[in-house]
Amino acid sequence: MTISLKAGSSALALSLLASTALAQDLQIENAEWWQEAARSSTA
Amino acid sequence: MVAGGRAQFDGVTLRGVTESTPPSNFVSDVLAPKFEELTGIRVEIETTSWDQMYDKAIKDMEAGTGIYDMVYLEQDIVYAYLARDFLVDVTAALQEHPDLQAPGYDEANFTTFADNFRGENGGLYGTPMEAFIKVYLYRTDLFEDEEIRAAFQEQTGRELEPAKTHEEYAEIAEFFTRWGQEHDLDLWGTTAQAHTGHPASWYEYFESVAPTYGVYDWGIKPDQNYAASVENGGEMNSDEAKAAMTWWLSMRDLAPPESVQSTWTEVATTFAAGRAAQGLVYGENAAWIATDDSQSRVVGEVGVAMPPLEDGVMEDAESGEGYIGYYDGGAFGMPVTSNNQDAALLFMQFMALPEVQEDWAIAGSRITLNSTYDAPRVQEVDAELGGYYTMLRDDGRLFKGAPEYPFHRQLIEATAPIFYQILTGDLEPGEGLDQMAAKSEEELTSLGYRTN
Amino acid sequence: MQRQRPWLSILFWVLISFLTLFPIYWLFVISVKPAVDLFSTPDLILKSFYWDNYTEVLSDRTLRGYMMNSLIVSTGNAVLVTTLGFLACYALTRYDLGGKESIFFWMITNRMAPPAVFLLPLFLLMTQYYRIGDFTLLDTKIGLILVYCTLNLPFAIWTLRPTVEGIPKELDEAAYVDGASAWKVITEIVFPLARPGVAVTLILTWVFAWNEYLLAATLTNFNARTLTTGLSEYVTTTGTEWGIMATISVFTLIPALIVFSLVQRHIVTGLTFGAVKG
Repeated sequence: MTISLKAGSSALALSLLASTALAQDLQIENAEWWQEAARSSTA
Repeated sequence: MVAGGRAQFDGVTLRGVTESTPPSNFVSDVLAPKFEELTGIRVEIETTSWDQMYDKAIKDMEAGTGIYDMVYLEQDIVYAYLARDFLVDVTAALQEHPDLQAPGYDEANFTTFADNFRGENGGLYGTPMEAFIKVYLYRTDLFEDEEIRAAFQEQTGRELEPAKTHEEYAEIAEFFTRWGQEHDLDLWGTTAQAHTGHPASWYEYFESVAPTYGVYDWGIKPDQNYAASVENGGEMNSDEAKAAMTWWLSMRDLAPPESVQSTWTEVATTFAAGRAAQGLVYGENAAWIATDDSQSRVVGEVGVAMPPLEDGVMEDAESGEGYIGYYDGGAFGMPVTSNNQDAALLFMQFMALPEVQEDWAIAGSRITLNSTYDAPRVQEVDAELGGYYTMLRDDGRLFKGAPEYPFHRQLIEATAPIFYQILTGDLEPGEGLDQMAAKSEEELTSLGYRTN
Repeated sequence: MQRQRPWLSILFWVLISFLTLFPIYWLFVISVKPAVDLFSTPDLILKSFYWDNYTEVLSDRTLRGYMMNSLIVSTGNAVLVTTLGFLACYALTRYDLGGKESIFFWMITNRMAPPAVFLLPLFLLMTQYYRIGDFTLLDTKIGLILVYCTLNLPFAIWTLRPTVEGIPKELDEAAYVDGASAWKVITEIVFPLARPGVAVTLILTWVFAWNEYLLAATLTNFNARTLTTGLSEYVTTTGTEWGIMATISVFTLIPALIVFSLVQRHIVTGLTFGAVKG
């Protein structure tokens, strides 16, 4: 991921960059748990 | 339960309202799509202006309409919300639903800033999402300029260094304002957030200047029957408070002409435009001033230091009795009126995952987890910011948010008209602070905090 | 006299035009400057153009959505209000209704209080009372159109009244004698004659809805937000995006200018029509 702080500081630049790159690049460590949490039955 | 593992959150959409700032935009543009991708829960974040945000959140919670599942909580409004039982205790909710407790989410990992969002029972009522300290910014290019240093040395007999005391700060401010005049530059010695009709000036005085003179928590003493006047045991009109006001007004007079119409936004813009040699600036702005050349003319020329102090204030701050400046920030809280509390609990934990917070720190220049400071990428950014993150980590405890007053807004509204008269010169600082202290006690009496 | 000193008249109109157009020019100047230049000493003459604000605004899907919402709400509101107002005026001027002056006056009373007074009641009505199952009017375009309708209808009736009154009743009567139905009389006799007044009403109610901020800001959240409420997103504690706001404002002007130019020729007639009826 190559977002510089310069881009990050500007709300608009961020939103543009973010929608194209960041969401995909974000690595979640326990991805399975999140998938499971939403799909399994809980209280 | 439908066979085949039908999702319990099928079709759920979480709705939040927040201000349109870089940290909030990260939630709507990055975290929300990622969360939806993983869980199938849609998250819509409504971004609006600061006053609209409160207006809408409060209307929703008062009317119990359940529009929002998450609302932005600025540190200074949280006590008013808690007093009205608007929010869900996240700690307790997770204890009740251990199956919803996410791996990686650890309440203990939050920085001390999270304590601002704890109720009396110690439960956390929001996920901290931004945190900033109001810092002393100075222009490194000017402070390191040989010609300027020599001239300063000649005039004052000392080296040009970031000020440690108010006296030093004033000396530097006077020097640079004169330097600007003599060299026909658009340069002044200091910024001043001294708007004559906007609470930003009230905040600068009570949260950033008065504490550096040893006047804490607006000079009000809750343990002294909410006294504000010296006569009754308060400090709002103490000699220190008056000295702070006089000093601040004299700095305002050395600041660029726009200062009398400046809120936090204009102060940042003034500094970014290269019109001030030093100033007190909110940390969320310090980041773009130091690094964003599409908005700032002083990129790479910004140094960060601790605010100038009177004797004894640092000792007070170290011991926890006082503080040296303002710690600002906000969290996402869940209204009790939310219809999707389980799903909202998941998202609020998702926001606080260490891996998420790291990217967020880089995009939005805010840190709310202890573990984020150690990330190598965050340390790189720290260098660009002149050590701002290091200061946040090491000295953040010396700064403090707004006092825990549920009457925050009422008190400001009651006293601000007198405060503005001090700024416009219609009232002497001493007389004005006397009147403000009296007015505060009157307001606190009518609100039922103070008893006669 | 005027003929003898044409330069005086020209000077006067140049000055007036300057006063009117300068803010628009200044808006444009701000929209084509980078943020970093906005706070230096003002430069009246444009030396270079910075188009990034425009590309940012145009590539922003959310803003395009707001623009579409604004168009739908303004147009929907203007058409509905003008139609209802026109029919109401026809009834009130043609039929001998008891207390019709009181009806006229009663209608305008809801414009006498500032709209902010209605905010909370409207919010509660739209979220708690007017609901079918989970459906409420909050944050819907139709909800906003109806709210604007209640505020604009009295205005439309008062603007259209002199126009409709000014059309001689004898025309209707002649048509009725020829066997025309009421609908035919309204659509084929009265409406064409009332066109200037209708055009003025249409545009004024359209502009009202297009520019409205207060109600839209409170009564919409995600789906029905309008361009004016979108502007407020750029005023934040971490800075005000003046360049972007100016650019959006330039875009807000364009549809208004188009609508004006379409009905412009009716406006002058409309504003004076019925003013000198005997």
